[in-house]
Amino acid sequence: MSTSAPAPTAPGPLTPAVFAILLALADGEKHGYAIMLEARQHIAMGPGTLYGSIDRLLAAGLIAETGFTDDERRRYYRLSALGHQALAAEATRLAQSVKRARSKGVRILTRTPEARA
Amino acid sequence: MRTPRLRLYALALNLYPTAFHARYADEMLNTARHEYARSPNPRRFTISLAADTLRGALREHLRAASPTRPSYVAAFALFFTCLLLTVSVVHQQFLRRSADGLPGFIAGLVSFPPMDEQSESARQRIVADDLNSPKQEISTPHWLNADNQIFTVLYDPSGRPLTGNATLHGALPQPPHGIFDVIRTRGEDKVTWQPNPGIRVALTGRPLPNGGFVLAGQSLIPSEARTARLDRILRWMWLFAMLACLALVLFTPTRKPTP
Repeated sequence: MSTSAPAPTAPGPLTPAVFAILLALADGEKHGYAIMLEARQHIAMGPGTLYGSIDRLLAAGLIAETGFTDDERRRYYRLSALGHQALAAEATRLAQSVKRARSKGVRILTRTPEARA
Repeated sequence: MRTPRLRLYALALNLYPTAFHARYADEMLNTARHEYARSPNPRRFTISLAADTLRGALREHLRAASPTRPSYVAAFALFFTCLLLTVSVVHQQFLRRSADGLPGFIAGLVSFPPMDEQSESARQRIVADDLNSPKQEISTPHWLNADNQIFTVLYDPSGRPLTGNATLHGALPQPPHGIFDVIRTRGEDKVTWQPNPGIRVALTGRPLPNGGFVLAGQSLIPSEARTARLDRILRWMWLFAMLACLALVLFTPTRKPTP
């Protein structure tokens, strides 16, 4: 008889902050500040939001800690298999939303908020 | 090097729950230091960092809060205890006041000023029937345990018993004289009279038009027995709830901080 805990399942729609963090980790492991720099392209977040989200993602099993550097006491994080699955599901959901928006004649802006600023 | 703003931020990080602070404070401070160095507008950066800290600390405290935390369980135990005490007191007061109902009605009927001839004769007949009914001995278990068994006794203006349908140890009941002074002053008095241990009576007194007094009473033992029964149930409920609270605190695993 198996006594292992049930496998965690991918969550439903992600918050913009969580999506930005998972997307930042999609191309490899990063430390907190690097995640923040990249996530900022999607959403502004302070250290409280960033590390609160990281803690929740660790608890949910969507990301995992890979190591620790002594120089600046930085922890590194990577996407877990479940995190990849959640990110893919959210990207698909967003793509479908964009497709639906296009079909309804919504004009997609080509300039990003950063470009406008 | 830390600026005053970053020193303040390092202090503000203590607003976070201890486990969260222990794990992330250094990284958060490091991140804030990099951000501060990059920021073109330090004042704006400080304001947004303060808002982020307050929001984040509140969120993490709410997240760390669990219904099984000892402080929540203690608050529930206190609330439940107060609730049961309130139920007990309200129920006891309700029964005690209800016990004054019938004696109050009889005393009111006897003491009512003379009315028109027809009503007055009817009233006098009722009062006479009541007073001339067989005398009840109020110290007997039979009378003490009976529901709605009312006795009525008339007294002269000095408070001496004249006639009545009840006896206490073979004589007409003689309550303390203080009760007549109160009736004379206030026009009515409702008291709990305990002539002997084990005999408790809800007594209502009113003045009579001739300067005398009427007292009517009924045993409090039945209503006190009902109060005791409910209190016994409430005590068991309280004990069960307290044991459940204790078990919740002792046997519910606490949420461990992320390693």
